[in-house]
Formats: sequence, C-alpha cells, structure tokens
Amino acid sequence: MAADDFGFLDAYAVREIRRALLKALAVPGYQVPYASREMPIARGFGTGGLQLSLSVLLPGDRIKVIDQGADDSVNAVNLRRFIVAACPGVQPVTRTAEATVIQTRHRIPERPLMPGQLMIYQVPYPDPLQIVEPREAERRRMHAEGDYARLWVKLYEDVVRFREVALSNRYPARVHGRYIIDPSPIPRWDLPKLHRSAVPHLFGAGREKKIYAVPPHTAVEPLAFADVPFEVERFRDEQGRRRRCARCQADDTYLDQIPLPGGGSRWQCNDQDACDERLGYPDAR
Amino acid sequence: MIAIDHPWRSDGQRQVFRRLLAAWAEPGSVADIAPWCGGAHASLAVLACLCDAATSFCDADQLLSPTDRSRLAARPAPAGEAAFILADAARPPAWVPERGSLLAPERGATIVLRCQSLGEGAVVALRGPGIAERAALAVSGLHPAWWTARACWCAYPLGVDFVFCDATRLACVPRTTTVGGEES
Repeated sequence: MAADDFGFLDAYAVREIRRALLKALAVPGYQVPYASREMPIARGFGTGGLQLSLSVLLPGDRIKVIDQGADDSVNAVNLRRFIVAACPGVQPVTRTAEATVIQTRHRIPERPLMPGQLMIYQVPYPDPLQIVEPREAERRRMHAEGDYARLWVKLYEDVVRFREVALSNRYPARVHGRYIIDPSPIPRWDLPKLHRSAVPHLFGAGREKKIYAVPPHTAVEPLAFADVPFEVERFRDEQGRRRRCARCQADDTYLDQIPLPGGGSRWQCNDQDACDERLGYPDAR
Repeated sequence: MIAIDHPWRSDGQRQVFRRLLAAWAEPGSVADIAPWCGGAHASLAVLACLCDAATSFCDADQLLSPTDRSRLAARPAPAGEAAFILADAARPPAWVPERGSLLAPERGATIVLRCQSLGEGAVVALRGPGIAERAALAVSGLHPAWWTARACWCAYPLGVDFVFCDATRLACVPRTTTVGGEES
C-alpha cells in the first residue's frame, strides 16, 4: 500500500476514521468508538477534530478553523497552520461563506451554513451522561437502553434550585428521537442551528476516542420540560433591551462581554467573521 | 518505483470517500466516482477506500477476482459476520447479515450492492435524516427482495446500511432511511 503523503495520518488511521464516520452518520448521535491516534498536539487541544479534518480534506478544499468565534486565537492558528502544512493544496480561509470545511471549537458560525460545507467539531467530553454517571460501561448501557432518566432528574433539580437549567453550554439534545448528544461546548445560542441543518456535523473527541455525527435535515431537540422551555441567551441590558455589538451594531448575534478597565463592560460579536462581514470587511487588503 | 493505479491510490480513495460521505449524508443522491475507479467497478473503489486488515469482508456472490479480494486485505468472513458485504443486486439475499447490537449498533454491516444502473428502473421514495422532505432513488437490476429483507433487518438503531453501485456511480441508503414504496 502506498504511503499516504497527504494529511499526516497513516492509511490505517484514515480508513478507520472513514468507517467510523459513516456509521456515526448512520446512527445519528451514537458515539462510535475509534482508536484515536497520537497527534503532534496534546490530547484535549482539538486532536479529535483535527483527525476528522485530516481524514476528509481534499486538495482544493478551503478550510476555516475557529476557536470560540475567532480565527486568530492560538488554538485556531496552530491547528490551521498544521492542517495547511500537512495537506498541500488546501487553502486557509477566514470567511465562513468561502469555506468548504469548518473546524470549530465552541461555536457554530452565525452565517447560515450552505449545502456542500462540512462542520467539524473539537469535542472535549462527548458523553452527556458524564455529568450523572462516571463509569463509561454504565453510560454505554444507558445509551443502549435509552435510559436517560438520571439526566432528566439533573435538569429537574436545576429547575427546582435555580428556576432554569443551569447549563450555559454543552446543552444536551436528542437527535433523531433517539440518542442524546453532548453538542460540544457550543453555547445554547448555537444549538437550534443543528436542528434540520443544511450540512453534516461531524464531532471528534480525540482524548475520549469517540466520533459521532448529526446528518443534514435531522431533528435535534434540546431537552426541556413542557412548562420550562429551552431558551437561548437573551443579552438584555438593565432596561430589558437587547444589547448590540459595540463594533457592528448587530442585535442578532451571540455577544462577548469584555470587561473595561475602571469598571463597566463592552459587548461585541463573538463570531469575528460575522462582525467583519457586516462591516464590509474593513481590514481586508 | 512501482506504479499504483486507481482505485488503489490513496489520493483517489480520498476523492471517493468524500463523495461517499456526501452521498451517505444525503440518502438517495447519486455521486459519480468514475475518475477514481481506474476502469474498475465503482463497488471496488468504494470497498478499497474503506477496507483494510482491521475489518472483515464477504464477497457473497464471488464478484471480485481473487487478486482484488486479496488487495482489499480484509479478513474473509461469512456473510452473517462480515462488516462489509459485496453482493449482486439482481439476486435475492440468501443470508442474514450482522445487524449490530444495542451496545454496538455500529457493527451492523455495510452492504455494497452491484446493480445495473442508478437513475433508471423502479423508483422508491426515501424519507429520513439527510433528506429535506422526500428523495427518490431509481435502481435498475435490483431484486425487490432486497427491500423486504432490509425492512426485516433494520430496527433502529440496529440494522444494515446499503451502498448501491453501478459501474461508475454510487448512492446510499443508511438504516435511518424510510423506504416508502415504489412510485410510478
């Protein structure tokens, strides 16, 4: 067999990930175990997403890598540099509309995804049951039997104690009416974007050695009670008005709160590209 | 240096897999992989990008040459145990494939069916994940027993996943897809 000189991974690793990806799409939300490979970055820094990207990329692809909403944070820059070095012919981009593959940590771009694009997630904890059950064998049984009672109890206890579900991110959601997934640490804001999305969403947890997926046009329903519905972040100020991005004035994006010296804070779009796009890419050369 | 041709070249296998992934994510859509088949049947190109010594394979209807079978390098296994099965779509299945278990539904077999032509013949309506509303798939040279057998084998999340291949193209029907009967 010829050595695979594209994409860093050896041929055995690539084929195993291919097989796992197909089965992950065939059983949406089910965590397919795989032999996660050693990568030249530490486990927990995006090795799962990286292995997926390296397995699916082709020469001519345009890759966007984001960490939170930023293209220029340390994690995103290092991953992008490595991917581009390992995959000759793959072009790095920052504009969501131009990307064919988007590898992400903690966000889904604000701009609606288009058919033909692929979303790849770096996942630290793939199992939503981890917050209620530490033993993996037991969690596998619970998923197999659809036994999510303890997760519902945890959400119920939150409602009793805090009047809402106290999960700001990694909010559990049921996929195709069966498996409950941890959608990776995306904020609640992004969870509705997974529901009947136009593109496949592929999740890679390198340290935990799991791959799972949400195919396009698939039901993804956040867990909620009939009388305590799921809600996304509201970003209201003291007067109850929706806050705007201080930079692009958007009032329909996920915002970061940036503390200012001397007190007070400034609110700004978390998705850097969406903010730049609204401003007409002022820094573009 | 030894020259390696498609479908055994890793760059071509990447191209085939990406199209397979897209077709698998959108059941019923037909993908053309002719440039990376190297003259071989598309079913061999599909198997070549997925199989190696870590998996098992059954050539149920002896469709591959012994050389191609050995190049796939997959462990030979009976149809009831193999992870990948290649079969002739014109003949009804005479075996029951592995359907996985609740603890490991991913062990359900991938069945690659060699058919006459995609886009011609009896049309079936498809619904389910990956399909916006409804999709249609036409496969000619497919024995109707495959749909009845599939209905028996698939009880979500257990089941088998179909990849239909004509000479140069592929289309997928994973276990989540509801096959809604023939359309005129």
